[in-house]
Amino acid sequence: MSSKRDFKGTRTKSRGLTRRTALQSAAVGGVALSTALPIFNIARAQDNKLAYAMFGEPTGLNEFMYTEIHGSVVTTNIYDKMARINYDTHQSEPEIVEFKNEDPLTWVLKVREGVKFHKGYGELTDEDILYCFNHVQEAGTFQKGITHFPVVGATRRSKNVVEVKLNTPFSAFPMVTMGYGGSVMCKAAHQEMGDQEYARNPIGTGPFEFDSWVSGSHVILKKNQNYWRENQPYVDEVIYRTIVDPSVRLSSLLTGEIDIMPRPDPKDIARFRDGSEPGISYQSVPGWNWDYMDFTLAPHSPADFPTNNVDVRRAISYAIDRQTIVDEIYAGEALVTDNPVPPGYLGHRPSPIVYPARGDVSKAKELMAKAGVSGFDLEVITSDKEWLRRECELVSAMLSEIGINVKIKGMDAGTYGSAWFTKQFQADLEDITIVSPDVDSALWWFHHKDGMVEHGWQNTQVSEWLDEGRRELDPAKRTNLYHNVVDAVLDDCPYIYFNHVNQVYLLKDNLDGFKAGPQEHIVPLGAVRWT
Amino acid sequence: MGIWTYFLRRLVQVPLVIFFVSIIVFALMKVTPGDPVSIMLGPYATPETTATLKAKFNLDRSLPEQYLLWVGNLLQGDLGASIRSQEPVTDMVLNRFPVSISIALMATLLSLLIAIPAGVLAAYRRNSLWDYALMGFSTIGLSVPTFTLALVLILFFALKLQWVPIAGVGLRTLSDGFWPFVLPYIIPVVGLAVTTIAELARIVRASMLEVLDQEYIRVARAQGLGNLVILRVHALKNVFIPIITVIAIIFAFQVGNTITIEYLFSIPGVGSALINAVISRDFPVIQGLTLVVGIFFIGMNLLADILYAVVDPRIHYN
Repeated sequence: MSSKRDFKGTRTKSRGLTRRTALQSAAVGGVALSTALPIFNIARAQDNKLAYAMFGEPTGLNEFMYTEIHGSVVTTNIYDKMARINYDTHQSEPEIVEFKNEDPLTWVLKVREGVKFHKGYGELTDEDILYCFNHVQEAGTFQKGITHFPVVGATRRSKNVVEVKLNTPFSAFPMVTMGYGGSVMCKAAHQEMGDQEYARNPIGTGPFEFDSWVSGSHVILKKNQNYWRENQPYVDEVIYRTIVDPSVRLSSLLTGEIDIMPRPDPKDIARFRDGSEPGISYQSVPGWNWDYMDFTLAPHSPADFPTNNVDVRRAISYAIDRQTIVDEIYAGEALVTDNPVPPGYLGHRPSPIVYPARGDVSKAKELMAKAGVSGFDLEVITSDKEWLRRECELVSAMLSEIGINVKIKGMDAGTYGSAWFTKQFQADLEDITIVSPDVDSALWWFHHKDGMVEHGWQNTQVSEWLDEGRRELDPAKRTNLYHNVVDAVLDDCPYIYFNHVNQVYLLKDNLDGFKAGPQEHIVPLGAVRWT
Repeated sequence: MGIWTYFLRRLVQVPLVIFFVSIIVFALMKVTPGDPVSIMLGPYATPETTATLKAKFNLDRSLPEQYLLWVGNLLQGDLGASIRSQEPVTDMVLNRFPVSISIALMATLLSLLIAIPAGVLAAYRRNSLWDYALMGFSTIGLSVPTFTLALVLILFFALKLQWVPIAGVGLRTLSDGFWPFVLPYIIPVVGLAVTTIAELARIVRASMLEVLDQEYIRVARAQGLGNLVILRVHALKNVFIPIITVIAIIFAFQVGNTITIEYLFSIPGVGSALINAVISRDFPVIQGLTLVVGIFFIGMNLLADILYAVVDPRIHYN
């Protein structure tokens, strides 16, 4: 019983909720809640499970239908490829086929024995390999134009031996066709399910088999008990959780709700890099990607627009302080460059090659004067990636020193994609990931006149070098050809390259076997185990 | 005109409203730049692949044709399928709508449980420390964006105190145990409820103050009734009239508000699906989900009107 004042200020007695009972209830509630605490932080190490945070939702798990980061992060562990890229050697290695180049137009693939499909779909045979090659051609999947363009057809030579005929020599066949485009699905399962069902219930031969998928929440994979690599995988279950926001992702790692997270916010990285956060380790490798700026060129922009003048483009490249971008936007987790060939690639040269890391504003001003341009407004589009918008702001400040007034136009991915595909922009600042470690992947699609060339750059000589580079099998000759291409790009500046951004992962320090790779869509977990 | 006649008249208007909603949603999507097929296939797609997929989803047809095809399917109960994931939109609605509804419902209930006693107490102790504290909380609650508030809640309750998990709605079912199932809901629900608590507490306080100044309260007091009796028997009944009618609207708005929370906490509800669909210009998903949410709003408005008449006999729909 307590004494209280009513709304008229009269002191009354009541049996209601008192301060003491409220505090008692709160204490009891707190204790009750605290007893439940360990429940959410399930000790996955003891359960031999692993939780990986994706920063987006997979679209589908059929590698012949979709090409996007989040789906690939999962399917990397469901499907094996014909060839796998070794990130240390930058070479492709046999995965579930052995391969040899009998002559420039013939590749012979021998199927690895004892490889079994998930969920009782039997052993992998040459029929499955043939089915995958034929499916690409017949269904016109995205691989047809990107990775399988030189393939004439595949035939069975003998039991578990397949012959692939090309219409032109293709030096990147192992890396591009059998690596990036070389997923292997199960013929029987795909014929039974069809494309759509297969995308929700995939059957592969990889270290983990698909278990369940709750859209918008998580995907669960279970250990493939029949995996062909000895002792792998080590964990029994992988839970891929979709956590879009980087701060929520990091908080979830710190509270133990997840075990591995990609792409932390650069501002958070320093404390993990210097080891001041106990229990969490940090891995960072240079990425196979670039941040770049490009321009729509005539006839896709008015011929008299300043960026159609090569000296203006060169001036812009000189005005960019690339080192500041690396330091300020990526907290040092990127490599300065001025060209599209990352370290480790055939034809890579110490970078920057022409344009200084700290920029050269006087040289930039000279070139602007030479071009007869004193200043102009330049609209730069970028997508919804927060770091690119900040990079845009920094570039805007840098270009203001040579009289260019940048107007930033941030767009959601849909609007940006539309503007990009239809060349409806003046300048563009974006990033892109290279799909294979062959230099052809870094150059052809972006500089050949028949490639994407959203800027509209048409350089016949460069296109010829690029085609020759595809046909040429001698690495020394290819190197020369690609040096020529890079020199032409540096001279004409259809693209202005800024940096290669590192792939950064944070993970529990009692996890062993995880190896950060340079491609964010490839995250193999078969060798990962708890210590 | 009786309430049922009014209800039937409103019911007849519903298809018309839905028709206009569908036209607006369809038109907005089509005038927004962005091509779902190009976004889905990425920059390496060949023109042939792009054309095949566009034809598959009727995107190569004229806009009126596309609309009529969509409405035709809709009338047969088919909301279409996602261009990106091929998942039927009906399945998305069935799987995701209950999640959004349950979060909105929990947030609404929590708001009522806290806002009503708090508002009553603030009015009952007008100009007291409690009253000032509530009004202060209410100002902050209304001013702080849900997104920011959610991050603060994460910082204190998940990171510092480690009382609750940050995300994980949809990760476990009730069969995993009560606490593992319920705990992931706590931060999202509290984050969602704070604004409503602030808003509702103000309404309750104002309404209670108005009631307490009425003559019948003075009469009751003159009759020698105790304060608690006056509050419980005479005041609260009348205070509840405006509250009950706004509950349906608040609930409907909570479903809309879950978009931010679902995005932040990776909750597999309608909101997160809508954001992903908008980003990828997945027209069938946007159209289907928006339509369903629109129908839900219409339903809640109708419910509010009916409740208003039911709880207040003075209301006549003449």
